[in-house]
Amino acid sequence: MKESLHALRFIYGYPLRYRGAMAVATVTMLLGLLSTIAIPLVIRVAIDAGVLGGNPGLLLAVALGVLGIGALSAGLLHLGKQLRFTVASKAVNDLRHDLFRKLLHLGPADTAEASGGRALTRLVSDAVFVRGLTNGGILELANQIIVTAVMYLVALLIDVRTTLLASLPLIVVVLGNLIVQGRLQRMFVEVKGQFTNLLSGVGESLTNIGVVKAFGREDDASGRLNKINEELSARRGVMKTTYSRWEAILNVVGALPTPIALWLGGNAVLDGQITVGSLVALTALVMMVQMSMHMVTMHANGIFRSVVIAQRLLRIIDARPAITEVSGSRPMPSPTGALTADGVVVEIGERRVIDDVSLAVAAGESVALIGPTGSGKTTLLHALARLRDTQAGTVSYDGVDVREYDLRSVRHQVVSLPQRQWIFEGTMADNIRFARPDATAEEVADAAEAAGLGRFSLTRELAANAADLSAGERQRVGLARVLLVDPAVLLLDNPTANLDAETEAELLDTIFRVRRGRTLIIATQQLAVSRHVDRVITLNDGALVETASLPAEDTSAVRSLAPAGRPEGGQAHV
Amino acid sequence: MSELATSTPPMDQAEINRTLRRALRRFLPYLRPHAGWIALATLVTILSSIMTIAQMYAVMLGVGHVVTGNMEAVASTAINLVILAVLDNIIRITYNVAMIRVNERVTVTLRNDLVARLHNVQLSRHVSQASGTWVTRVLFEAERFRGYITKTGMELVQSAVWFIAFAVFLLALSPGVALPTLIVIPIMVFIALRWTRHLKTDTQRQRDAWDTMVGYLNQRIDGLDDVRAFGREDDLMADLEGRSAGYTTVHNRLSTKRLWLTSYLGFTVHIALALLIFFGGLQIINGHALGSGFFFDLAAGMMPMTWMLLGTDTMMASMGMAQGAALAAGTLAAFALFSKRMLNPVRDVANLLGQSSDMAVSAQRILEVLDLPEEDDTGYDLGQVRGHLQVENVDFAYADGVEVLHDVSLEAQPGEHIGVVGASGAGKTTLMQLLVRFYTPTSGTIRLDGHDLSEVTKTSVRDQVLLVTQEALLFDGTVAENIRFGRPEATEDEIVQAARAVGADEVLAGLRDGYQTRVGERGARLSTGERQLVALTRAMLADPRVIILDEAVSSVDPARQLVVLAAIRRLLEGRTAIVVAHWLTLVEDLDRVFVLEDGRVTESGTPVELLTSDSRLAELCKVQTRHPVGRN
Repeated sequence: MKESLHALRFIYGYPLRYRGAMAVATVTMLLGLLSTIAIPLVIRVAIDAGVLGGNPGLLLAVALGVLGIGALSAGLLHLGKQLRFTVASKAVNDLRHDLFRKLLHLGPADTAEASGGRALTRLVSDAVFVRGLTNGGILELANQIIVTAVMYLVALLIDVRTTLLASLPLIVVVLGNLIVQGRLQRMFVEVKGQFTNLLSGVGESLTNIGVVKAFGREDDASGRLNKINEELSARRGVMKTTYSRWEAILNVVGALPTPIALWLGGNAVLDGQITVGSLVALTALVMMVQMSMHMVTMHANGIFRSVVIAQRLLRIIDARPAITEVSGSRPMPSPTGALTADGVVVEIGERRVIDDVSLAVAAGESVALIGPTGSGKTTLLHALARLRDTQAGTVSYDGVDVREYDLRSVRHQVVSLPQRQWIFEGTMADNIRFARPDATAEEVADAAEAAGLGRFSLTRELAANAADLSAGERQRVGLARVLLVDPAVLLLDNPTANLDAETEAELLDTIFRVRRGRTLIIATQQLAVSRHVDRVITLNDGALVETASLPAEDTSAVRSLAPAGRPEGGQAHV
Repeated sequence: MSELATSTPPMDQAEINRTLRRALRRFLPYLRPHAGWIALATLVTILSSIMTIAQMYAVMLGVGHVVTGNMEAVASTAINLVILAVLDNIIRITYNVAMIRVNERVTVTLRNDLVARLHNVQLSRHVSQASGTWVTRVLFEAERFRGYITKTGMELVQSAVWFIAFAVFLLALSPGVALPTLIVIPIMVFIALRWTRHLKTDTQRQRDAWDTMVGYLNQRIDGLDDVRAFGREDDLMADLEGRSAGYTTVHNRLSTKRLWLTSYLGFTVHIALALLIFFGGLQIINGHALGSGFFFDLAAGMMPMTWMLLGTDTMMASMGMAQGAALAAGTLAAFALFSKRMLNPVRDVANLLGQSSDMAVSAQRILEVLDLPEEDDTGYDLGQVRGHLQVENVDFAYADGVEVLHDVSLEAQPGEHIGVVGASGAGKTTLMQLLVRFYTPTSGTIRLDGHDLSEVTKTSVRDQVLLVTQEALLFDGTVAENIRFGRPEATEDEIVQAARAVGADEVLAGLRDGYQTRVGERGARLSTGERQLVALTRAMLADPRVIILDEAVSSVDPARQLVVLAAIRRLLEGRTAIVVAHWLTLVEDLDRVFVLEDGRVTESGTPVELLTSDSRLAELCKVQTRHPVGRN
């Protein structure tokens, strides 16, 4: 319950950022809705004085009155709705931007919600949910409740007994709806979950299509998805049918007020307590109350569901960011490139990924960081580049704690290239310039040339996912980006992974050529890399095992890389 | 570029109509199995309109009876109203149940067809299309489109039926009242429908803007690591904000136009009501009783049906009821009460028509997937083979026309191990894919035991020839489930045996939950070496005669390299194998090696011959041992 409230408060925070506009919109719409209550009242006049009283002039007046009320209510509702959906668009954008900003500051390991397909669903379809909440939701619910109350009051003024008795069934409808909503809420969560399963199932199957085809298991793979699909459909069918059944029962109960009003009101007319016109007005009001109640349940329904969506969004918003900016940070002065880590501990979730690592790298030194998969190499690089905060210990450049510097300036001096370079739809030049948008065409061309991309035209259009670039060429795009930024420290994460020997050699050649005196740390599993560097550091289970100086071949760290008993000592690639 | 664009280019009216017609033809088969349910829903829709009219009529009579002071008749009208409410809801639930069924079945079938098609198209289609786009089509587009095909039809039927029923009812009551109303309303409706033209363009613009934004977000999410690395967060935020603003403009414009339609129709209801009050009231005052002549003739004609719906008592009472003022009061009451329901169908239809361009876009995207050519699976069954593989003068070019392989020939006797080496881009992967019939050579033949692969079914080829790729792709599930993928009917015991056979048992059993360890999405919770061992065990379980192996031991963590290497050796034992080899050790195991350069075989021979000569292979080997390149 407390969580639900938290979720609601969070999601309503977005439309309520535009409090003024929302207030005006809500009041305008309320007036628009209230003005429609006048219609039954003027019809009362039309019947009593116009038709039964034989007064054509009055009929014309009433007809014009109906037009006037119609224009007024349509106008007010129009203004209110227009204002509201303008706010709704802003609220959706705000939420989407907040989510995206948060995603930018999370590491992929921090929350499952932040990974590819899910993140997209949250940003795209879940964020849009706020639109519905702004246009309907709690404020509309409040409006409907007020309107219902006023209608009820007017009906009471016409005839207390008839109104009271006629509205009794509505109590049953309200209570019934609350119970049904509680049940549907659970089903809704299940359906949403099953949908996510289908989403990731299809994504996975298509990513692995090569394996599926190799084993000729196309039918099994699609069969597996069909099962999820059937399950999703079955659950949604049950949810909708359940809702529909309850709705029908409650509708029948909800329809009772009209005949009750007709019967009791009819008697009141005969007794001379009210006029025929009043009876019609009363019946109309009771029907309007009934419809309003229906709207009330619809909006309540939307609020129940918004809790589910809001809770999913909160998993992203509430996740601990990988870094927190300290106030009063200053720009990083041009560093020499000397860096030290002192007792660094990094925890991701419950797991201690880096455990008390200390090391010092001199300005301009090149270091290979070696260790098996999962040993924490990438995380250590992230900690050094302050892509992730440490839970204990410090990372310093030229003796100053990196946290004292403003993040943006750190990124200009310390660049940590991820293992897989991101290529987006656009030209080669766009992709390189991404690292420094204000770079001139000449600078981009120079960087491309130096990174070994000279054979590509800079105006060449690249596809998303860069299906047309080889692994080596992707790495070169990353290097060209680095050259544009010109940092003092360069951290590379397994740049030669999945490259064949020749490409690896060429790429390493480029890496050491473009290094130009920068401090360089390369996380790697390839022995070949360690031959190029000044020093080799081994990481195992998040702890530093050994640091060694050249010649690298003599250290046990390097020997452990090469399977024993092999001819020629090292691994020879073909 | 990919042939399936994320955003579909704008269509003109003729094209929209053409697409919708084509879509209708293609999707009718999806509806046909549910014809019974659809017929039921349609019937019930007609009844539902009559039911609403009956309710109006009952209220009208009820008020009329009050005026004449016939309380007995008022009581029976009240009871009839309750009966009508029950009937109305029985109709509604019947409609809902029928439509839920139809909707769910159509969605499931459509999705299943999309999934099946995506699994059965040629591999190159997958390369050319980001999987995100496919997923969107299977999940969201299918749902959206299903909504259009079932809902649109039903709403059109509903609205049409309602209009006819309403007009007949009004005329029956009094032509004098009906005519002004029936002339004005169609004009208003006509204006509303004209308005949909504006909606159409904006709907399409909104869809495009939306697709662009989703595509943009999809790509950016992919690049978050790089954005962080270069500290470009603020630029990206600014960029996104700019794009959001662009989308918002388009979205708000469409919303405004839709809102105008709603407001306009909201006002139209009041015009209808005002006309009714004025003309209806005037007629009575002038002494023309409402419901004279024609109305009662019709009422008598409708009697059998109305009798069923309302019960005899009311009907009899209504026949004898005082006319004139009483009925007029009742009519006005009925219209005042039901005025809102009158024009809602118009709004729905107008909105729907405004979405026709969107419908066409959806249809086109679904059809693009459904119309993808399936992988060719014609031919005869290969049967059991010995594993004699011959590649004879094979040329191959992808759809874009660029030739990747030229005149490649090689041969592997049953049980022989053949190596293929060469730099990246030499055509190794393509050659491997030809051997398992992912593609068919442009010219030349590939034979297995003398059978031309292009003449046998792909299924029977893949039963005998297995491609084991570098990435060792796994599915989210347990280790055992991933291994069983090689042969779905295998028992737990056979899985363990297969693991033992390749020497992976110790490692796999030693995982946190042994064979029941969950591997995570794409096997992310296992190390590269562990993933490869699972993939090799999976291949062992499948037990093919021929293995096409893209060896990737070098990317395995050092601790596992020897185990993986041993597993490969055991897997290949006794089978014909084509190995794309990176490791010298493995090369030495091979019977013959072919060097591929720019799509041609440039050298071949035994490893010893090649390594000792002044060959390209020897040169490739030296690259690794050659000492460094320009260190700073």
